[in-house]
Amino acid sequence: MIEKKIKSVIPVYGMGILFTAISFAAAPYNLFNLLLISAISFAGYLILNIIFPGETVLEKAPPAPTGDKEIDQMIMKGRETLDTLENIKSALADSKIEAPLNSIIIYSNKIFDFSERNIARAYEVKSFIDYYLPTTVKLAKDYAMLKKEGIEGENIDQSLSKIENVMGFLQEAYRNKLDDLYEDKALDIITDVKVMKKLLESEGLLDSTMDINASRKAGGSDA
Amino acid sequence: MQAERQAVQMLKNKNFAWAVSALLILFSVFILGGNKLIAERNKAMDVFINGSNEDASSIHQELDKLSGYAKNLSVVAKNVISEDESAVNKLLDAAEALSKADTTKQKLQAYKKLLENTENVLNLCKAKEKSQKNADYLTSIEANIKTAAFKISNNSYNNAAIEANREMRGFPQMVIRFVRNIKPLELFE
Repeated sequence: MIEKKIKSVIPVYGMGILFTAISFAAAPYNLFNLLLISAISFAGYLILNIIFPGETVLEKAPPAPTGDKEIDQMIMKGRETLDTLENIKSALADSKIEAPLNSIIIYSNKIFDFSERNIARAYEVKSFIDYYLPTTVKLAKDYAMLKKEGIEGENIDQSLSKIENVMGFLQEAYRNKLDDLYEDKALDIITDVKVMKKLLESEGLLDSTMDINASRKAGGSDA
Repeated sequence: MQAERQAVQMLKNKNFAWAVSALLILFSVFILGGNKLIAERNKAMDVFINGSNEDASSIHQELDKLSGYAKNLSVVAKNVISEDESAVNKLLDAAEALSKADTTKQKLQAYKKLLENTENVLNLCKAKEKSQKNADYLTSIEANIKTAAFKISNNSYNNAAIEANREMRGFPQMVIRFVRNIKPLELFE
């Protein structure tokens, strides 16, 4: 996350309003009046900038380049699509698809993070970026549009209900996709554990009958 | 609720804020500044129509009087120079043109034409007139016409118009005038 300072818009409005207010008293019809009113308005803008300095917000840092231009572009496109989905989600607060969309966004962000760290496997998410994510956005947009209509009808209700159902499935599919990406990691971990167990056994530090995979009980042998 | 949120978002948008501010400034310059220029112009035009404190009467009022004097002159002239009707008709046409003139320029042209025709008819009448009564009429009408012409030539309208035109010169007046289609005043001279 990076800190970003967002200037307040109040000084900008203030300058325009001040210019107009003074103009009612002394119309800016000649150069002297125009310069005088401009100077006063600009001074007002500067003062308002001090009074309303704006706010500092935390923003997502731009992703570091992976070194592969194509992958960078692919991930950037995916993140842009995800931004669109986030905007739609913010307009769908308290709707039935808010929670699934929230999960989808979290999973998608994790998928992108994974792809950036593991460029060798980044192409595995291509179909996800090119098809699944844009289609999810389209469905969310359609849902928002139908909701906005605010009309009850068989077709509208049916469509809304279908999108609500499919969002549940999509949420699961995104979670599975993320899980798939960690399959190799899981295998590596299992292998490491097995090797370590063999070593511990060979050095007599571990009973061969002990199951290292089982959860350790509270107050166990190492206590 | 959603519309309200969208409106707030829009108001917080920096580009939107600058656009609103720019519109306010343009409104101030072109509408309020333009209105001021129009007011200055109208002030000078008011001198033309109603006169100022410095003048006994306005150009407009004197032109109306002149039109009337010309008609009176034509009545007398018809008796004195009945054989030269065309000069009288020209005088009446000039008086009519003056009454119908809209712009300052048209009024000025009609005024000059009327003075020319008046002088012509008066000269013709003076050459032929035998009756003392008509001679008195003609002298009186000539005096009235000369008084009106004198009042017109000494009217403060031209000074007011020059002053208003000076106010309308330069920047940003030229731009405002172009946008609001404000024409400079024509002088009556």
